[in-house]
Amino acid sequence: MSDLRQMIIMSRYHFKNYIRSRRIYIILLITVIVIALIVSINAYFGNPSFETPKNTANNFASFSEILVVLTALFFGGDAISSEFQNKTGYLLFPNPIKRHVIYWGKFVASIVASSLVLILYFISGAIYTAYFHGKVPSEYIYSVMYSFIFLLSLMAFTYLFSTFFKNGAVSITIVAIIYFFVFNIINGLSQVAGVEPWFSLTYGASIITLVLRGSYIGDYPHKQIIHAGNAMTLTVYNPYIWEGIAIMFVYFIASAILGTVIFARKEMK
Amino acid sequence: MYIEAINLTKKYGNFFALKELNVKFEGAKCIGYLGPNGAGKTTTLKLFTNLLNPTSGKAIINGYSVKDESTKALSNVGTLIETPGLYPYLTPSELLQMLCELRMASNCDIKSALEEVGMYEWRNKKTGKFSKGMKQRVALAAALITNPEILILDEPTSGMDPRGMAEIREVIKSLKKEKRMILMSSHLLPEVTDVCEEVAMINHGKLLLYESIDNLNNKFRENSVMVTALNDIDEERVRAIDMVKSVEKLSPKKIKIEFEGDDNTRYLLLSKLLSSGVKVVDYRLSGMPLEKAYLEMIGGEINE
Repeated sequence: MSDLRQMIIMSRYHFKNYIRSRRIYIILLITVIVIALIVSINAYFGNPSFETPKNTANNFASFSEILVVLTALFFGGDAISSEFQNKTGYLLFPNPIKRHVIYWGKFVASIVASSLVLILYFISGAIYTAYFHGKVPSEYIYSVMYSFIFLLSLMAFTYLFSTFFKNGAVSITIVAIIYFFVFNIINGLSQVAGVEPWFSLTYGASIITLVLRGSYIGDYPHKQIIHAGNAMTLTVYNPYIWEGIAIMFVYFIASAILGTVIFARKEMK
Repeated sequence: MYIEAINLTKKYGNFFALKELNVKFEGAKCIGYLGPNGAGKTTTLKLFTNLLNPTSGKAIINGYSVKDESTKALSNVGTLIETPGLYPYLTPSELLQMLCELRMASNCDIKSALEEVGMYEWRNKKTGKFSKGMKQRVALAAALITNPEILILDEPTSGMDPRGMAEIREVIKSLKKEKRMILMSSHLLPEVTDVCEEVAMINHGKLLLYESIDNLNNKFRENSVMVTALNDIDEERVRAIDMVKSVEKLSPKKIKIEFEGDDNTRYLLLSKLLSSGVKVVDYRLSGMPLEKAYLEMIGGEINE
């Protein structure tokens, strides 16, 4: 019970950090700009009234993956490492509070702050879709749900790296490199090698947009073989919905356990 | 209340930062923890405050292992280790409020804690641009906020100007009146002599000595006094006093006298100086017993 109370207190003060440091306002501003761009570009280059509701909703869903990455880096990148980098751990850690309570208190604050950003974004997408089509496709709701699962997994993954390093900038850079380069290289190599990249988080997260494809949920090919000239064959994999969810949950659970254990043992040298 | 180290060891690779430390500090008193840079002082204090994990052995506070039962062990402990960073987005009042809430303490007195360290007028300013000394004061207030019975302080006057150092020394002295144990590491021997009743010395990760300052004074006292007079001192007249062994003239008005005997002899020597016409304005033991003990036990080593 006291652990839970301490965790809530930790969350409250960590959230205050996001407000006082203006991080939350900066990312909300970025989100508003992105929403404005999506709306204006679609209005200028096309006519959403002639699209299917799923296609219109997909305009928003396709950027949500990037938005989740941004919020995870913004709110989670230095959440743990800053305690070591700025020596605030000397003030916080010698208190009668367990390390995992600190870890999860901060994690909850990061998830709440990111969720606020995502909610603004997805509500805007829903209003935009409903404006042109009079309804929001049920697949969009699923896409939103998968985005929140992705947020959980990526935030846990970011926290894990924030625990590894004692410098916030390093942990943010490493996660960004892993996400934008390493996972994509893995996905690219897997197409050449013909191996399903079930171990890649971006592969799992692709169900955020895949769910809006086809005429029903899961109406897309799991495996496509593309012949690129005579010498090269590419195998494109798409995860099943259950598979994407499982990949994201495994990342969440593994990162959360590892991060919590490492932080509990980490020393202020 | 007690703090105990049982075979407490901290090893980095092949280097022992602390080697099988066995010591028990008990009761309401101030213990000065001395040693040169790299001796293992901060390592010991970090092991007692859950900032480091011991390689082997145990750090125990009031019967609880700091490693295994950290929340119980640290429930009644205030700490100041190195110069902690403060959350720049919080004011001192908010910071202390946060720590109070996290400690789930009902006896927090933020106003008193900030007044005690001279930071009350800064209570509503964000800590981001505070100087090192101001941060140190706020961190000390954070250690005092729940009125803990044990205080673990690592060079509490570090980074402060002379006035600040004197003020913090007074704060620590006043804390002693409230039946607390204070374990304080320091490089400053006069500070420890001024504030503490006991002293522990450590070097190369090993405890060399743990004694009361009174015992040290008796063991390491130099039988010599520094005398400053109003007028020029006649050395020959001083040499003629029977208990005087030697006289060294430091300036026309200042001499160092070596004598044979104890505190009674020292008192007699002063009266004889006065009766022989030396107008004494300052009369004190030359050198500090603690300094002598330190130099004998540790020498002028720097381990860094």
